Amino acid sequence: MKTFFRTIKKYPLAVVSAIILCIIIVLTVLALVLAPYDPTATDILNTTKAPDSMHWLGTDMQGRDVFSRILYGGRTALLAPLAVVAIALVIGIPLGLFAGYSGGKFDNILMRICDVILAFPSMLIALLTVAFLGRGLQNAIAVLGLFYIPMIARMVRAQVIVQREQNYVEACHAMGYSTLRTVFIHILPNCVSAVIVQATLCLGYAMLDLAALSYLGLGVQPPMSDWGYMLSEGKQVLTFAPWLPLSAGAAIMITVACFNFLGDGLDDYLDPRRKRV
Amino acid sequence: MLRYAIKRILALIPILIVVSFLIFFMVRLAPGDPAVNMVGGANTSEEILSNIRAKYHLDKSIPEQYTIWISGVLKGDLGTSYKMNSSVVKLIGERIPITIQLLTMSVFWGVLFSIPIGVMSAVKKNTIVDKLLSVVTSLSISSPVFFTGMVLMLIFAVNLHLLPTYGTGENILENFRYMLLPSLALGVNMVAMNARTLRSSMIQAMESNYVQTAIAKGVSRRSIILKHALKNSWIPFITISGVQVASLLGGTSIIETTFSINGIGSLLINGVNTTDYSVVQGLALVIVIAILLINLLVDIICGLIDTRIQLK
Repeated sequence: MKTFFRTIKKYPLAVVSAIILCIIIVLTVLALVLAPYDPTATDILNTTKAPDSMHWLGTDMQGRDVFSRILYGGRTALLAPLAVVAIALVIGIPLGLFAGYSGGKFDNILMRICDVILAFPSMLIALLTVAFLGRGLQNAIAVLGLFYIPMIARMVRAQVIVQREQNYVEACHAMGYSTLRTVFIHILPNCVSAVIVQATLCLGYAMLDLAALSYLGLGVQPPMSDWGYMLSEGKQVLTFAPWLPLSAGAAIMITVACFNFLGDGLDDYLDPRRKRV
Repeated sequence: MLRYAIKRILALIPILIVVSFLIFFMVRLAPGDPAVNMVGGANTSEEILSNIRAKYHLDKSIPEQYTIWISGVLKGDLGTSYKMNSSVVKLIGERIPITIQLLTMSVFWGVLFSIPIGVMSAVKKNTIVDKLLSVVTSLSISSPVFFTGMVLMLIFAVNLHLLPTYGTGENILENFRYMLLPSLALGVNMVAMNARTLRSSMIQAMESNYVQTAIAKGVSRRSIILKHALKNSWIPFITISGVQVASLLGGTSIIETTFSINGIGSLLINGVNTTDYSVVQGLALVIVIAILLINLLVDIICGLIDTRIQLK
C-alpha cells in the first residue's frame, strides 16, 4: 500500500490517466446498461436538441441521444486501435527480434524498408491504401496495422542489439540453446517493458489515425457509432449543434491524452536507470 | 555542397521509380470497373464504355498503361482527370499555391510556439513550469487536427465573428485571414514534438563544458541561453521540423476538407471519393516528391549550419 502511494506521488499524471482510462473502458463495456437510450433510435421530433436533463449531451440531426452514442461509439473507438496495435505487435516483434539478433543482410534490408515507410506520414499512405482497397473499418485496421509495424520492429531491434551483448545470451550459446529458444524465451522478456511503452503510445496514435480515416468517410461506416465518425457528422451541425462535435472530440482527446501520459509515465517507471533529460 | 546536392538528387531517381510503380499498381487495386465508375453507374451502353476505355487507355494491359503514364509523366503530363475533364497538371497547378501558403503559415506557427516553449522548459527544467508546459503540449497533440480546427472555428468564427468560417479569399493577402485558423490547427500539432526536441538538446548544451566555462567567465545568463546554448541546439530542431512538415502534408487533406479550402489536400480526398485514378496517382507522386525534397533540404541546411557534419 505504501509503495502504491509512493508511485502515485511520483507519477501522478500516469496514475490519473490509468484511472480515467479504466473508467472509460468500464463505461463503454457497460454501455448496454448505462446508456439511457438506444444509440440508433431516431426521434424526428427532437433533433439537434441542446443538452438537458433528458439528453445529457443533447441529440444529433436524427434525434439520437449523443450520450448513448458516445458510450457505444467508445467500443469501436477503443477496440479498433487495440486491433491495429495487435497486428503491429504480432508481426513487428518477431521481425525486430530476428533483425536485431541475426544482423547482416536481413537486418539491413528490413531497416531500409522501415526507414522508407516511416519517412511518409502514416495517415497519408493509409488514406490512399484504404481508398483503393475499399473503405470500411476492417480495411482501415488492417492497413494501419501494417504501417505501424516499422515503429514496433525498430524499437524491438534496438533493444535486442543491446541485449545481444549481455552475459546471459552468451550463456544461452554455451548451453547450446537454439536461436528460437534464445530469442523468444530469453531475450524477448527483457524487451517487454520497452514494448509496453511503445504499444501504449501507439494506441493513442492509432486512435487519432482511425478517427481521421472515419472522419473522411473511409473508416467506420454508418449506422455504426464511432467517435471519429460522429465528428464528421458534427462538422455539418457545428454552427447550431456544437455539443455533438464537442463531445465526440473531447472523448477522443481525453482518451488519447491518457494513452500519451500513461506511456510517458510507464517509460519512466519501467526504466528508472535511463533518466529522461 | 553543390556536388553533394546533385548526388543526393540522383540517388532519388531509383526511389522515385519504385514509388511510381507502387502508386500506379495500388491505384489499380481499386474494386470496380473504372469506366463504369466514370460515367457514374450501370445502364451505360457498351459502346460508350469502350469509347471511354479507349480514350483513357483502359483497354490496354496494365504494363502498357504504366508505360503510357510514366512516359507522360516524364514529359510533364500527369494525364487527364476522369471526372473534371481537365488536365491533372492544371488542376494541381491551380490548387498548389493555396496549400503551400497553408503549409508555410502552419510551419510558422509551429516554430513560433515551439522555440519559446522549448527554451523555457529547458531553462526551468524539472520545475512546475516545465511540467505544465509538457502537459499542455501533450494535450495539444492528443486532439485530432480536425477537432482542433473545429474548436477554433467555433470560437473565433462562429461565436466571435472575428474571422471567416471557411472557404478561401480572392488573393493571397485576403487568404491570410482565411488561413489563420486552419494553419493554427495544423501548426499547433507540430509544437509538442519540436518543443520536446529543443528542450532536450538545450539541456544537453547547458550541461556541456563550453557553457560551464561561459558561466565561470561571468557571461550573463541571457547571453548564455540565447547565444551559447540555443545556437548549438538547432540541428535536432531542424531535423524534427522536416519530419513534422512531411506529416503536416498528410494533415492538409484533413484540414482542407474541414475548412473547405480548395488546395491539393481536398483535391486528393475528392479524387479518392470519386475514384479518379489519374488525379490520385498524379497527386500521390507530387506529394512523394515533395517529401523527398523536404528531407534533402533538411540535410543540406544541417550541413550548412554545422560544418562538422560530413556530407558524404
